[in-house]
Order: sequence, then structure tokens, then C-alpha cells
Amino acid sequence: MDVRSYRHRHRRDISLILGSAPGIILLTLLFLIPVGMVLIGAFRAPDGSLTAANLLDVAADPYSWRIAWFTFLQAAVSTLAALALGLPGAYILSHYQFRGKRLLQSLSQLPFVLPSILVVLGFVIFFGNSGVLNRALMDLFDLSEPPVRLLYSFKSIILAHAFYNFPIALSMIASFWEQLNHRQEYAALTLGAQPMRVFASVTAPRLMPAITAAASMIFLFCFTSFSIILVLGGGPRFTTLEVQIYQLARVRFDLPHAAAFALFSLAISSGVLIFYIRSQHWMQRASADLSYSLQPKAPRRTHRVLIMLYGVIAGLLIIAPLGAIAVRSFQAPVFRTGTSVWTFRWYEQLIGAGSTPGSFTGSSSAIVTSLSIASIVTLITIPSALSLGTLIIRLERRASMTMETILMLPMAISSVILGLGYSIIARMIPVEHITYLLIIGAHTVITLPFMLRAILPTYRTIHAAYTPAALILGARPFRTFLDIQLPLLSRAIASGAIFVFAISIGEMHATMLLSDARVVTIPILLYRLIGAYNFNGACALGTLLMAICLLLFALTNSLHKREL
Amino acid sequence: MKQDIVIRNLKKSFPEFLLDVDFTIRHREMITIVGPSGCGKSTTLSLITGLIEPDQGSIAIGDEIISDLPVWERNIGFVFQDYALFPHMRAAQNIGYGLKIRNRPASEISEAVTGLLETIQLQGYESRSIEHLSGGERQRIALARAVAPNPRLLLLDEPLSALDAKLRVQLRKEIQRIHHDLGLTTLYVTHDQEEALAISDRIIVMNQGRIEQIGTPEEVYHRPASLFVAQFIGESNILPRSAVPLRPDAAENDRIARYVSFRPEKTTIRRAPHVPLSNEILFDDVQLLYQEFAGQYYACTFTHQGVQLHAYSKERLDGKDTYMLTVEQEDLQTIV
Repeated sequence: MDVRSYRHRHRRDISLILGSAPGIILLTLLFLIPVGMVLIGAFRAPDGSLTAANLLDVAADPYSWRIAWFTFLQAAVSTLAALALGLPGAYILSHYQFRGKRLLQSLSQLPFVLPSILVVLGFVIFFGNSGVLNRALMDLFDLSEPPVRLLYSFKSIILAHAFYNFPIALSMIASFWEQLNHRQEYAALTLGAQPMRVFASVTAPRLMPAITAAASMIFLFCFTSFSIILVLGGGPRFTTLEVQIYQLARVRFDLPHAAAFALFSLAISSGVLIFYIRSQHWMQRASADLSYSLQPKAPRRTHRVLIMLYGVIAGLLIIAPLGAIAVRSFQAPVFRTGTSVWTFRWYEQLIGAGSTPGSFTGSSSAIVTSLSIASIVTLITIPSALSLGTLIIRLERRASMTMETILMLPMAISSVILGLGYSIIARMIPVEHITYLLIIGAHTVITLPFMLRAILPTYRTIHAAYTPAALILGARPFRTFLDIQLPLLSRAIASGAIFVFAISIGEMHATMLLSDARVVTIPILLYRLIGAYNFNGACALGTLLMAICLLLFALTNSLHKREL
Repeated sequence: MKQDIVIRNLKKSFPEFLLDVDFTIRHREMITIVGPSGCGKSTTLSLITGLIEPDQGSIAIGDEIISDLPVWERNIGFVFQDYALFPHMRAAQNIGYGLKIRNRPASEISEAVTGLLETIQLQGYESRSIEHLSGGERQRIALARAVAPNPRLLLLDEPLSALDAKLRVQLRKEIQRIHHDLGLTTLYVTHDQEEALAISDRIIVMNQGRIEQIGTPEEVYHRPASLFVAQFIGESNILPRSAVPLRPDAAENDRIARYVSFRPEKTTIRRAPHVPLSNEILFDDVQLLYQEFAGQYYACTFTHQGVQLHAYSKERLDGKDTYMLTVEQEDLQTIV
């Protein structure tokens, strides 16, 4: 009998292995091997032997340290700026009920869904020397010189990063603040503390877990930021580690030194990641005893003004640059008069109707390429995430380790570094059209954590509550999967799929390191158009990309609404 | 055919806890496992369903050993504490799910569902969605779902703990009725000793992964086999044997016992002085500590050589008077 029950146990483990194997294999192939390639690449001499020379070269060069210092500095300042922008909003969101609150809340997804190249384009169009802001100011005050000289400066990097990332601070801190038991504030007030004193001594310390978690996440994103630095930084003065890796890999074709820099960047960002995970745990522990939830109330008149002011500033930062892209895409300057007329000219050129030679080559094929890559990536991530999800849930029960922290790994390993790993592989496999496959692979790895994050919470409750019920009623595991898990997961899968699709279609970093002349995606083409100062074309294409993202964004929102 | 469920030497070890149980559930019996939280009640159920695998031991229904079967082949009904009704299915689909899995024809399923809804007195609830049901209704649907495939054993894991007190009493009667009407063999788990005493044919008292006592409610109440059972089931006065002046004719077994226990309702409060009758044991050295009005009686607490003793009084006691307590020899229970 003992033998039989052993056989049974064995059989069950096999079903677990069968279920999770596809996910593990995929992760190994698409993530571990490319990252391993980067690590090995850092220690390889041109003749193939192992050497520490690459690393020593990098470490001995004072320029490397200058880059590292600048990378750190801009990330730190950007983080502070994003926090400063996000904190007042977090207060408003957690304390007040007002119209447009849902919209403000849904902004939290912006940094993930909005392609960074669009942020870049928006900033150029809005804040540029002949941009919307400067022209308006010049008209208004009758100036001959543009008064705001922001572009290609440290300030523009910080501003773009702050705008791009403040929604993270906003939503993370707001959702934590909402649950803070504010009877403790009442207690402090009854003990005789003034409101400011109460904030400093009672509220702020208790918000720290959420603030640190948001700060470390934003720091991580800014530290590995790429396209914003590449375009808005615009020169060797503002080079970061990621830009340097790109330059070495794609311009100088010096993969060993690019890999050495990547190792350097990885070391620092892993440190930040560990810090993030720590603060995430801290936040979870702190949330454990937050049962009370704040009842948001309608703001008083004076507060309403402040809320509106915040709304206008946040709106200006977000809507103005993006709106400027859309408006500009329908405008054509009339020569001599300096005014402009409304036109569809740029869109006609985009779809190739009235194409002018040279400027728009391949824009419709870029759209097709992007859409098909995003579709394939979405189709791959769904079963992969389901497969990995089963494994994660089982492991969580055995070892009480939060597997979600592991899921953060692809976020810490920047897309540029991942792209570097893939391009090292590309060099080793001289097969035609391999680039397509590699881009799909890279996108799958980058987006998989988002799909997992979308399905895991639901998956976990289903696994704890409904799966055992179905099994006991006589349903086999696969039948349980079809009858119970899949229908209950459908909404989470849908919202994950939208996320994945949006991220894939806007992904530029890994794609930049991989794409050759034949594979051009929307963001790559956008980058090239901006580089060629073809802002009309860039705006038309950018508006199209924005429209796709907005549509997806609206779709997730309607999914959430139905859930409520 | 009699189908006793025989659980033999079932062992499962956890880092801080060892479960080790051995018992038999008789055919068509309503048996209850009662014990404090963390005593291994729910783990025992999980082992029987197969959701957890034992390190050792076997489970058999009649002649068939089921501990080797996967969960889905055991044909056991289970009512979860939080019901675990499938939220994407209507009430009828929930109840009929087990039959659908067994590939019964649709007409038979809908007939069975209608019959079961009648049994649980929720006629016409077929197309209700789960989220619109009350706690009590969910509980009944969960019960119907569990019994629909005609299981060989019905397990109920604290099925009433999420409901309020009044509904609990009402529903436990209903569970009892359904158990009898359908001729089920039922294993019921609860931490509520009162519930266990009320509904069971037999009770299994568990503590720290082990069985302390198995017996009818009366046996468990009147003849607790261990100190734990005496403390856990009902209210007890428990004293070290040396602190109790046993009668000279007490049995040898009682003399070597470590503890003596007796129930407050068997304890008589006497105004001092009192001369004990021949079958009475007298505690003369008692002080009234406090008394609480409990409606039908006053619950009085005395101290006797540093131990608290409980007794019930019809009237409020006068704190200035001196009292003695007596208990009859046959109401004493000794614990080895």
C-alpha cells in the first residue's frame, strides 16, 4: 500500500511539472539565456577566451564613473521631483470625493502603458524652442527670442521623468493613505498637537513604507530610462549607463565593453531592486494592521480651489505635451505668413497615399509590424503566465516566499540590457528574419510580469477556494481548469492582455538594440523621424500610436468598471 | 450494505505539529470532530478528501481503500466554511456541477436539482446568481451541491461559523434533518462544543493533533476521559485529587486519579454550617468570590484552596454569609 501511495504522489508531481514546464522553459530561453549572454560577454576577450580586461577597462576610465554618477544623480533628482508632484495628489485622492477622481486614479497605469518615445515627442513639440509654449509666450509678450530654453538640458530630463513617473507615487501612496486609520490623527489632536505637528509626527512616519516603495520603484525606472535621455539629453554631457551601453553596442559595435557596462548597471539596479522588495514587504506588513478605511468626503471650497489647481498642473503636464502632438499632426505651416492650416496631409503620407520620397518610407509596414508583434506577444504571454502562475502558487504554499518579488526581476534588468543579450545571440545565429523572433522573445519577457501581475491575485483566490471544491465534486484537474479557473480568470486575462499589447506596441529600448534595416516598428520609426527633424510625420505617427494606447486604456477602464 | 468509514493510523507531520488520528465512522452516523482552533480538525478533513496526502495510514470506505485515489475519484461531499460556491454559475449549475461531471443527462440533473432545492426549502432558486444570496441561502446551496452526487461520506467544515447565532441553531437542525432524510454518513467539524453536543450521534474531541476521547455526547459530557475534555466540553470544576476529601468507600481507581472534576450544576451551595449526608463530599473552606446574574440563575464563583469553583444559585447570595459546597459522590469524575 505504501508503494501505491508513493506512486500516486509521484503522479501528482508530474502533473505540476507538466503544467509549469512550458512557462519555465520559456523563461529560461527568453530571459536567463540572454541575461547569461550579457554576463558571459562581459568576461570575453575578442578571441573568445575569458578575461577581466573589459571590466578593468571600464573601471579604469574616469568617464565611466562620470556616467555612473550622472545616472545616479538624474535618477535621484527625478525621483524627488516625481514624489513632490505625486504627494499632494495622493493626499487629494485619499481624502476627497470629487468629479474626475476615477480619471486621476486611472493615471497610475500611464507610466506602464504610455510609450516613452511619445513623452519625448510631446516634450519636444510643447517645450521646444519653437514649440507650443514658446510660441505662445512669444506672441503673448511680443518676444523675439524663445523665453523657455528647456530642451536638451538636465532640466528637461528631470521634468520628463517627473511627469512620466509621478502617477506611480500618486497611486501607491494614495491607496496606502486611504487605509491609514486616521483615529490616530484624532488621538494626536486630542492630545494637543497642532495639525502641522500631527502631519509631521503621526501621519508622515506612517506613510513612509508607501513613500519608500514608490521612491525605489521610480528610482529604478529613472535609473534605467533610455529614450528620454537619448533624445532629450541629446549629447555626451547627459549620457547614462543605458545610453552608453546602446552607443557601444550599436554605434561602435563593441559588445564586450557594452556588456561590461551592463554588468555595472545590473549591479546597481539589483541593489535598488532589493531595496524596493524590502520596502514592499514593509508596506505589506504595515498594511496588515490597517483595517480602517478613510471615507473620502466632498472638499470644502478653499480646498476645492487647491484641488483644481493641482488638477490643472497635472493636466498641463500630461495633456499639454500629448495634446500638442495631436494638434500638430493636423497642422501644416503656410510659408511666408507663418500661420498654419488644418490638413490631413501627414496622415495621407503616413498611409502612403501622397508620399514624398524618403521621409515616410515604411510607415505603413511599421504599423503592420508593430501590430503583429504585439498580437503574437499577447498570444504567447497568456498561456505562459497561466503556466507560470500554477507554479508560483504551489511554491508559495510550500515556501512562504513571495514569488512576486522574482517577477520584478525583468523590471530591474532593463530592456536595454535584455536587448543587448538578444543582440549577442543574434550575432551567433546567422539566420534570416531571426530579428523578428528575437524581438518577439524580448517583448514576451518584458511583458510577462505584467500579465502575471494581472492574473495572480485572482488566480490565488480561485486556487484557494474554488479549485478544491471542484476537485472534490469529481472534476479532474484539466476539467477544473476549463470549468472553473478559465471562466473566473477571463477578465483578469483580458486586462492583462491589453496591458501586454500596449507595452509591446510602445516598446522601443530592446527593439532599438535588435532591429535592423528590415524590422522597423512604430516607436523605432518615431525615433528616426524625430532624429531627422521630421516632426510633422512624427506627430501623425505619434497620434496614431497614442490613439491605439488610449483605446486600450479606455478598454481596461471599462473592464474595471464592470468589475465594480 | 454497511459502509463504515475506517481511518487507520493516519499521520501527517507539519513543522510545528503532528497529526495522528485513528477512528471509525459508522454507516449513516452523524459524527462530530470538536476541538480548539489549530487542533487538526480541518487537516483531518483535508486528508480524507485527498487535498492533503498523509505521511502514513489509510482511509477505507467499506472494503475499498480510498486513500490511494486522487481527490476527484473519492466521491466525498464537502461543505466549505466559506461555501466556495462558483461565482460564475447560477444556483442550479452549482448544485448540478457534480452530476454534470459524472455525465448525467441534462433532464436527470435538472430533476435532481429541483428535488434538492425542495429539500433545502429554496424552491424556485434555480437561476439565482450566487452574489445575491444571503449567507444562510449560500450555506444551503453549498449543502445541496455537496450531496447532489450522492456521496459516500459528507464532510462539513465549520459550516455555520459565518452565520449569526439564531440562524446557526436553525440551520444545524436542518442539517440534521437532511442527514437523516437522505441517509447520509456525515462527519461534522466545529469548534463549538455546544453545537457538537446538540447534533451528534458521537463526538470526537481533538487536541493538538490527537484524539482525546470518542463517545456519545452524554459520555463525553458526563465521563470526560481527560483533563482537556473536562475543560473543553461544558463548564467544570477541576481540582487536584489531593484537594478533594473522597469518601472512605471510594473506588481504588478514584484514589490514584490525578484530578477530580464535577459540573457546576451538580454542585450545591449550602449555608454554613452544613452536615454532609453519607454520599456527599463537602467543601467547607470556600469563599464567595463573585456572582453574575445569568437570567435563570446566578453564576457564583468561589475559591477553595486557591482553586475557583463554580455553582449556580436561584437567588442572589449574601456576601456576608459563609457558604459550603457539596457534591454527590456519583457526580464526581476522576481523571487519571
